Amino acid sequence: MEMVEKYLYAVGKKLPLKQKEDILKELRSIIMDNLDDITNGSEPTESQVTKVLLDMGSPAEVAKRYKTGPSWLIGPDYYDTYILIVKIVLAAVLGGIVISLIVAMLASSAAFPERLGVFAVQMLETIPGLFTAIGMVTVIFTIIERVSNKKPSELDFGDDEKWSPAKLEPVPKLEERVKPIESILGIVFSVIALVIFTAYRDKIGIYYTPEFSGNWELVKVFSDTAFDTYIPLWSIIWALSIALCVWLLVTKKYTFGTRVFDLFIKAFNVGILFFMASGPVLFAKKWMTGDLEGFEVIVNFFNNNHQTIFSILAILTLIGLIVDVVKLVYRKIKQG
Amino acid sequence: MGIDQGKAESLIQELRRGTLVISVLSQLDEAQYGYSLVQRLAERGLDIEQNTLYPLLRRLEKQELLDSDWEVTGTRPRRYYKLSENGKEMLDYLKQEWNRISEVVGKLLED
Repeated sequence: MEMVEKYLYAVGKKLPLKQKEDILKELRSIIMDNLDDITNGSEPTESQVTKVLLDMGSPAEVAKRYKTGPSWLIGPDYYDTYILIVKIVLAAVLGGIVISLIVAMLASSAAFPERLGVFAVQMLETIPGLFTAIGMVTVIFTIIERVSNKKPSELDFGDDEKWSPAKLEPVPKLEERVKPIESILGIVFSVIALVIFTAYRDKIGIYYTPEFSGNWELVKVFSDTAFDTYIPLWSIIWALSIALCVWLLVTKKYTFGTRVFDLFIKAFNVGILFFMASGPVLFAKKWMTGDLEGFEVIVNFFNNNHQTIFSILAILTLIGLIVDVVKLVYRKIKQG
Repeated sequence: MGIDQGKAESLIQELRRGTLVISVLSQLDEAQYGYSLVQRLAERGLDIEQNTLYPLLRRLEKQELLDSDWEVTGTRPRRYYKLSENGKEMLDYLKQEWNRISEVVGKLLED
């Protein structure tokens, strides 16, 4: 009988938690009925138990049949687009990193084998960034899958949704169509920004080789306070933009909803710029030494005029936002 | 040239799959527990795998075509399934449809 317990335990591990107890209780009574039938009530032998369990099927198979909901993250409807976007994102991240590393390597005066070594290490360090990127795309698609998925049928026999030509969606007007390249570029830039400013924020700065050492050195020019304050806000923008672009790439059509969402992102953007105008300055003060003193003028200019520069940026972006809102309202009124 | 047994098997399964629900519903005018239903179907010539039948019973219950109750009979509790009012109506409806299908297919096969 121990074997029956082991069997039920194995099935239970794979059952949905909510119904687990009840299903196991029923399975136990069914297995006992099966055993009764071949033993006529006497204590079953091990080979009899084995036979009954073999008839029931493997625990995985039995558990699988009790499942009702979908057991996938991304179903066939979105799989192709998902793979496409994963490729785009990978290419974007890898491409961006490789280009920046090559530039840094060419600028370096270290010996070639050494440069190659640095390059190899940098490549290895990109791996977590790649996983972050793929993870984000997967999360977005999982949400799309869950939101758009029709309720799976309770019985697995044909109740396909009624389809009629009258229900076909209208061909989008020219201005409603999404140009895939725009969405793709949107994803690429947002992903690059997100990866660089989160996973690689410690590597942002000026790379140079002081004349006395010939080694590759990084000088961080941005102040940590600025990064700590602004990057979380920008990350939200980038993540929302990626979500929007992926959604557009999947649905291939601008709707009132997506346009409003787009405006929401832009409004958020304006808000961040105004916030930055009154927030901490961008550049660190204590990094200029030796060869880099030439930058002092530029940095001081930006830091001294921080508030003015970001106020202007914010106002320009705000004007753009207002124009977009007016356009959207106009379009809505025209459509009636 | 013999027929491809593997292909034949999968086509036959496909045929049988569609008849499963109506067969099961037809035997649940009186309450049955899982194993007794398997036996009953087998006696009448329908061999159904146990691990297909039991999940199906639960799904039909969730669809409110069956009612179920735990009852202690003999030495152990068993879950009894029985047609609900909905289930009875559905069975009547399915029967008509079945008769129509078998008539149509019968005619097709005579050609």
